Amino acid sequence: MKSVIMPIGLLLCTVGLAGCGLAPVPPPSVVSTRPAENDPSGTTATPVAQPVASTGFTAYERAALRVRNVGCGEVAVGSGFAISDHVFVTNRHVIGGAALLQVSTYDGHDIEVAATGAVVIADLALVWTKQPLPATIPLATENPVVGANVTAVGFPLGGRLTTTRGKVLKYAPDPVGWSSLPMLVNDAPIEHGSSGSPLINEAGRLVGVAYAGEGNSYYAVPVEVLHQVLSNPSDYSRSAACGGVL
Amino acid sequence: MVGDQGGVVRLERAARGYAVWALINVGLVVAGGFLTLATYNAASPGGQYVLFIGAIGGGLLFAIINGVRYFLTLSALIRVTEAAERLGEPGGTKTKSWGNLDELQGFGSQESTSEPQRPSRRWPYIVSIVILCLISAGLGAGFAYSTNSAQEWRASATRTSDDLATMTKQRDGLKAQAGDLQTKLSDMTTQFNTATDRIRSLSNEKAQAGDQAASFATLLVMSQQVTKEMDLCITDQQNFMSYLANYRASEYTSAMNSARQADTDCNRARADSNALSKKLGG
Repeated sequence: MKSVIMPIGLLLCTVGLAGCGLAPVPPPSVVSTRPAENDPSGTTATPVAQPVASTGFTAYERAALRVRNVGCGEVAVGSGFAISDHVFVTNRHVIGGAALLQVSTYDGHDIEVAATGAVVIADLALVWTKQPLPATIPLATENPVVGANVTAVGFPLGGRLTTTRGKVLKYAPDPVGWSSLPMLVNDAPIEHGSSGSPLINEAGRLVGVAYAGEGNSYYAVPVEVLHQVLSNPSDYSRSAACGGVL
Repeated sequence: MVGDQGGVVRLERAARGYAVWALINVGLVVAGGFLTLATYNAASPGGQYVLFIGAIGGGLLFAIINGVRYFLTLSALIRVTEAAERLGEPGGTKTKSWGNLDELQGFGSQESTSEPQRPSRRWPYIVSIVILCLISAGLGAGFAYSTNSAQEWRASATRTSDDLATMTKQRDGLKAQAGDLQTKLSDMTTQFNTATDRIRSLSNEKAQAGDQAASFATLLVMSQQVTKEMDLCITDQQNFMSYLANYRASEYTSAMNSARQADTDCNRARADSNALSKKLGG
């Protein structure tokens, strides 16, 4: 009897042992974090405006200058570009015989001319200004190879600031005969009024200065000639007659 | 022999008793588990349920103990039966009668009267019970730890869900702001492009106006020059007319000089006038 009571007692004691546990709680529902563009209903999609491409002025457009030569009984227009804060480059025939030289920037601001210098060895001229120029174009160290892409920026026919593109075709003698050095021939279209326009390579550096055209070939003074001029100030002449004649 | 017969009967009864208790305890384990599952399913999320750890743990413990005792008793019963059979054989060894059942439960039998009576072996029971208790205690501690850990994880999950909901709301707000800003940027870019085109246009208009002004200025200078030369021409002619009116008092040479001067100045005036007319005519 004793052997029965003991197990029954133990059994009752163990059966009486019970504890409490906590049932797990599912995580609270979360608002969908799916990106709006993947939402097929489109109800949560926020309309996103596509930005319009900016078409402001390029760096070389800001460096371009419009030159008006009042003299020789007429008004002539040409182009130019800044190479430093107070100096810009144009053609000798653009400034020749000027009784008054009027310069304006890409945005129409007027720039007063302090002095001019016509270059002897090519159809180039340097002009010093009283006011600072808005932007400059860095010069390439050497002439472009044949086939290289070039961009011309100027005021053809004295009209709007225009950018044209082409390639270097060859190097040839100066058709005007003012220089004995080989000139750069390219096919970036220019017009009267584009004289003095910069020719820029794909790196944004100056490789030539446009000055003449013949059919679909357009001539430019290579940058190495400009380097030569800038390193030898004695090659300058202080004045040029009408048409750029020295 | 009568004593041996009684021992066998007692062994059989004890074995049955152990088997019954083992089965009862197995039933307790099953019932405890069933009841625990029932309360678990009935509990709401986050609510409490009853864990019948006594029925499950204790039932398991006693089921094992009684099972072990059942098999030991069964083993002793077999040995006793074999010993009884050997007693009936010639040359068989006389076996001591079983006076105490507990001795049989000590994992051995008394093979010979000459051997000393070994003490009953209870340590395996004690070790088994201790091990089972330790296992139960470990299970209980593990359960408590897992319950506590689950609560912590639940709290952490709740916080994370709240944070995620907050961040999602913030993200949606920022996305809406970005959309507005992009719209404004688009508008500004359009305005900028319009302004740039306007600057180009105005700059060109100003340049053209400047060119026209310069042309007019040039024409004005030319016109003034023509006027000046015409004045000179007229003056020269008037002088010559004075010579002609007083030709008797005048010298011929002076009169001729005056005539040539008038001719030169008038020719220059005419040339410049023609140039001006040509210029004006485009």
